[in-house]
Amino acid sequence: MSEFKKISSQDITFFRSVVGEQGVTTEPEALKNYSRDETPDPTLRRFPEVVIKPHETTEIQAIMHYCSQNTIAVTPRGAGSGLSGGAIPARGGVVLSLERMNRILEVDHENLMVVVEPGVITNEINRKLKPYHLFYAGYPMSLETCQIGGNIAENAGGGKAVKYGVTGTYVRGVEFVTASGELLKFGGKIFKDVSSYDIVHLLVGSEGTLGIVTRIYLKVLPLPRARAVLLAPFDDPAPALHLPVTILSEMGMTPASIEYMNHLSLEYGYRFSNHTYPFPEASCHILLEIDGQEEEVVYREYDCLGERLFQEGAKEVFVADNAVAIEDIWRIRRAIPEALHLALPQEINEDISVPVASIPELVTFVEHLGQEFHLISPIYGHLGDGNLHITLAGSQNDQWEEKEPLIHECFYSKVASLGGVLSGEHGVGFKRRKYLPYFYHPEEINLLRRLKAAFDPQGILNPDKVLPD
Amino acid sequence: MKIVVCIKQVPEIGEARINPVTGTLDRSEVPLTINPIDLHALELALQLKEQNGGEILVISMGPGSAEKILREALALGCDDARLITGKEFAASDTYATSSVLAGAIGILPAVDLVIAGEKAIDGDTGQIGPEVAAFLDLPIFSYVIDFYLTPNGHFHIERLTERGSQSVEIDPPCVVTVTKGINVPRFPTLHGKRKARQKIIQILDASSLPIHRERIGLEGSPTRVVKVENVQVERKGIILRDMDEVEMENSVEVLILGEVFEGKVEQTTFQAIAVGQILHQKGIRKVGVLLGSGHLNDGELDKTIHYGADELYYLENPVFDSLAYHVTARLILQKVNFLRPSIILAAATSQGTTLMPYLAAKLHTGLTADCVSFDIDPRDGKLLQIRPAIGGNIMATIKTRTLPQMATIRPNTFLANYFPQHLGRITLEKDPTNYQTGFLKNQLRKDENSLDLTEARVVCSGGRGLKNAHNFTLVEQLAQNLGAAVGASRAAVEQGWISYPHQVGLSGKTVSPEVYICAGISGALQHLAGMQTSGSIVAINRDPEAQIFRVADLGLVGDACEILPLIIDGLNRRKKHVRV
Ligand SMILES: Cc1cc2nc3c(=O)[nH]c(=O)nc-3n(C[C@H](O)[C@H](O)[C@H](O)COP(=O)(O)OP(=O)(O)OC[C@H]3O[C@@H](n4cnc5c(N)ncnc54)[C@H](O)[C@@H]3O)c2cc1C
Ligand SMILES: Cc1cc2nc3c(=O)[nH]c(=O)nc-3n(C[C@H](O)[C@H](O)[C@H](O)COP(=O)(O)OP(=O)(O)OC[C@H]3O[C@@H](n4cnc5c(N)ncnc54)[C@H](O)[C@@H]3O)c2cc1C
Repeated sequence: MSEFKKISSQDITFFRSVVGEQGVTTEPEALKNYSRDETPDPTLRRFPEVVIKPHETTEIQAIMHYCSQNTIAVTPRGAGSGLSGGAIPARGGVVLSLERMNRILEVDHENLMVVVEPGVITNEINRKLKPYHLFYAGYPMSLETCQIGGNIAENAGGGKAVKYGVTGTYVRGVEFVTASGELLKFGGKIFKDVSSYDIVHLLVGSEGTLGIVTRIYLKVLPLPRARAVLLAPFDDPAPALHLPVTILSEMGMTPASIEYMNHLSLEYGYRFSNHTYPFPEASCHILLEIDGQEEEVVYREYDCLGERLFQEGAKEVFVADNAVAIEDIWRIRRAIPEALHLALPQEINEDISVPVASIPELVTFVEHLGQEFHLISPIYGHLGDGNLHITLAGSQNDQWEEKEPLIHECFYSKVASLGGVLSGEHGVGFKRRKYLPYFYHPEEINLLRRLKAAFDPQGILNPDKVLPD
Repeated sequence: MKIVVCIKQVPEIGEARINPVTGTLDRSEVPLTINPIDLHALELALQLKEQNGGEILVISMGPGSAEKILREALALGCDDARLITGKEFAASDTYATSSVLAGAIGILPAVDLVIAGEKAIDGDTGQIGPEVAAFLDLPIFSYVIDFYLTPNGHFHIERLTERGSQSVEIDPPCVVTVTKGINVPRFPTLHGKRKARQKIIQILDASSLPIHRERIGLEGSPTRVVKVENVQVERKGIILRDMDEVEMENSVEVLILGEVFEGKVEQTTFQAIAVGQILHQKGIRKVGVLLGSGHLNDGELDKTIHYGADELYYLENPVFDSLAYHVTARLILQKVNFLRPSIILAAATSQGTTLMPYLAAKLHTGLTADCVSFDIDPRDGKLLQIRPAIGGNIMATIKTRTLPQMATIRPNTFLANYFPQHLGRITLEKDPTNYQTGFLKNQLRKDENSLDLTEARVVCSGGRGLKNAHNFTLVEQLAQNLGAAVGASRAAVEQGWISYPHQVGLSGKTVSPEVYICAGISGALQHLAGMQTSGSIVAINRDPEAQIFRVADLGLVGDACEILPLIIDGLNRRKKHVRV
């Protein structure tokens, strides 16, 4: 474990000379907000020694140069909405908050590209694009909170990944500052590029451990003019969990989203949002979103999908095709993660991703696990791309400390045996790094270490993240 | 039971777009949808039909594209739909629109109930329901929160007022406007959607309705938008179109319709009188005030004079306390026809926003809702009525071509002024008539603590900066003093100083009160998401750089634990002063 220099008043003076008085904060009360992200676990809190809010890339270069010279730990931070503890300054030092680098630099509608700084709130991009009848499809569900830089660092996915893919699908180029302060650029406003190793997509998902992303080139798409959401309650979860295979493979259709919410997860969502879905007693609800350029086409698709849902055992199929009703349905789905964090702060909150056809087997396994360890398990999430959010919480939390490692071991072994991975979209960060060995051989982890060393030989960038000790 | 539901197609929230190339308002591509509150109106109709049988007809006046929202209503289970459309209806104001809707409803046989949403999110006037009722000569109940059919076949109606609620039993027919709280709208089913596609929607134009041509469209609209300006950039207003000149009558006089509650004149009435005095300084001859109630405490008349009334008319009859607007409107109309004021103003309270449209329709004149500023046009002496439009981003100046010129005033935007030296004349009329309201039961319940955060006109919020639960009670005290609801940031809720239902923001409630006062809140994006559309924002924060100051209209830099007690103290003293 490398040693980092503590921040001195001399360092603060230097940082102030770079970003100005207002851009440097050391007041303990203000630092508190930077000691956490949205990971509910209260043990995952670490205070930074200083928060720096640069305006310009050149300022970041100067700061990184100085920190590498002085071996100071630097944790880049977006909006702090992360669920891996990625933005928590595990070893103190500097938190480099990108909130002021929030300019949308260019909307290039001819090339279907936007160029943005990392601190732009993701939803702002779509707001800006809307008048051009364009949209950025890679956004996660936290779009009103998170920053595009954070999305890139986590390779965030969203509710529409089934059809549109995740953040990385749309990142065509990045500029980033290295640990030693150099500014590098790979990719650009281009669709295809094999002119080097794919550094762009190495930065995507690197959780602030390889470089500080300062400029992003994003591909955008024509905005779909028509949308519809289907909501279907099921008594039997088995055919519901099999729907990705039914719809994507058998029917050959690609909705934008296929979301799953079990009864328990919805109970928390209902309480939090003060709204309920029809048939609240059903064992699970499925949400499908269909979009396209023409209302008629969207109608035919949802008509066909809705019919199939009935055949698969849906008790009813509800249709929302106006903005108000669509939002009413999504709002409850979106409330679930926050509701769970509030109600069950000590839970095991998983973001695994498995091949879609294996989902029914995994969910059955979780049920058995729950019986064995007396757990309650709200399950919800992105069924259509195999990325379910599974929560395991102790119903008798007396021996939770003892049980937890065992539960994790059983659960991850199962996920790995199904060919699944540790995290689909939230990242490894601070929270999951010790579990990497369940999924990778030592040689594989070694390659990751060598890669990290190539970018950041001193290990000052976001230390104690991703890689296990 | 035969039910008619009036629904409107509106632009999706926040969808007023500026074309990035031309820089002008892009109307063509704005996605349109059903007015959200209308879904609650439909839900009420559907529930009544499920429980009691009957038939639901939905009508909408609008462009051809409004057919889509009618199909949505059919998919939900309504039986029949009519679209009133045509060029001749374009640019209708609320008066013209209501006269057309009433015309279409009037030709139907035996309608028991007409339901509308409380207001449309685009125009935001809430005038259609009361005006339709006036044209149809039916009782009106606005802000309805509960409605059912009793076993004896009466309507049981509960509506919200500033002071609590009113529950009435009445025989059909009547008109109601519903609030969001009344029910949870259902989603249409796939089978409903399929069936709705097969249905034929009857299209009506001006020739198929028994309406006066001169009462529809732009020509039939008594009000005109004369100017819109961006609130941010002052004086950079764009002139849309100039006024049609109208001859002014000589009698320039303003009549304020006041309100009395439990023998006392309401504060909002004094605020309205203050507007009258402002107009007086701009050349309006006299400020008249009309009060009606069953009983008035001693000294209230003198007090009203001292707030600036030049002529005070007091009608004493218990029917005023019954809130039977279809009856009180008749009494007020008699007085108006006798006094012939050129301007009638009232506070935009639950009473003002119900009674004023009812009167306007009866007087065949225009009405401007929720004004925040007034002026007199020096060229023609007409009243310039200024109100926020399009979610408050724009100020529109409106003139009324007909007489009287009517407007409601947003409460708490004007300060009531007490002039101890002011003199005025009082005319007292005791009316012994026992008016029939048709109300089989009528109960008023006082409940001042039921303030719902999302409906409150003033919200006081506290955040982490208050440091502890004890200091947080300062916010609650302030709220109590102002009759405001209490809000909080997520940080304050997480600390357990207040419960989750009080959280304002992205994952809490979205509020849009007239005044939002916050102390010790930094103004995180997620908090702003829940309150930035508030009328005025007052922020108290120690840190002059706090993000909250970027959206605040009034920022107080300092320690909330020192500032809040000062404000509370000041309010207490002012109250005592006013009582003397
Ligand atoms: C209610 C809720 C719903 C969510 N839904 C989803 C969802 O649907 N899909 C999903 O994928 N995630 C979701 N998340 C998780 C979270 O929003 C995403 O991981 C998001 O991408 C984090 O962005 P942020 O700006 O908040 O980043 P932060 O949390 O601030 O940081 C995340 C990581 O990015 C690094 N970083 C930030 N900026 C930069 C930069 N410029 N250069 C280099 N590194 C940087 C940080 O060091 C850290 O490791 C949700 C979270 C919440 C609270
Ligand atoms: C997905 C997600 C959803 C969220 N949803 C919401 C939401 O719905 N609502 C919400 O509010 N937040 C929400 N948040 C949290 C939000 O980001 C902020 O953390 C929160 O609003 C901060 O609350 P605060 O302003 O009270 O505290 P802080 O940000 O800590 O601010 C305290 C403020 O008080 C000032 N202060 C300190 N002492 C004093 C004093 N003595 N006198 C005066 N001022 C003082 C300080 O200068 C500071 O500005 C959400 C976050 C996420 C990630």
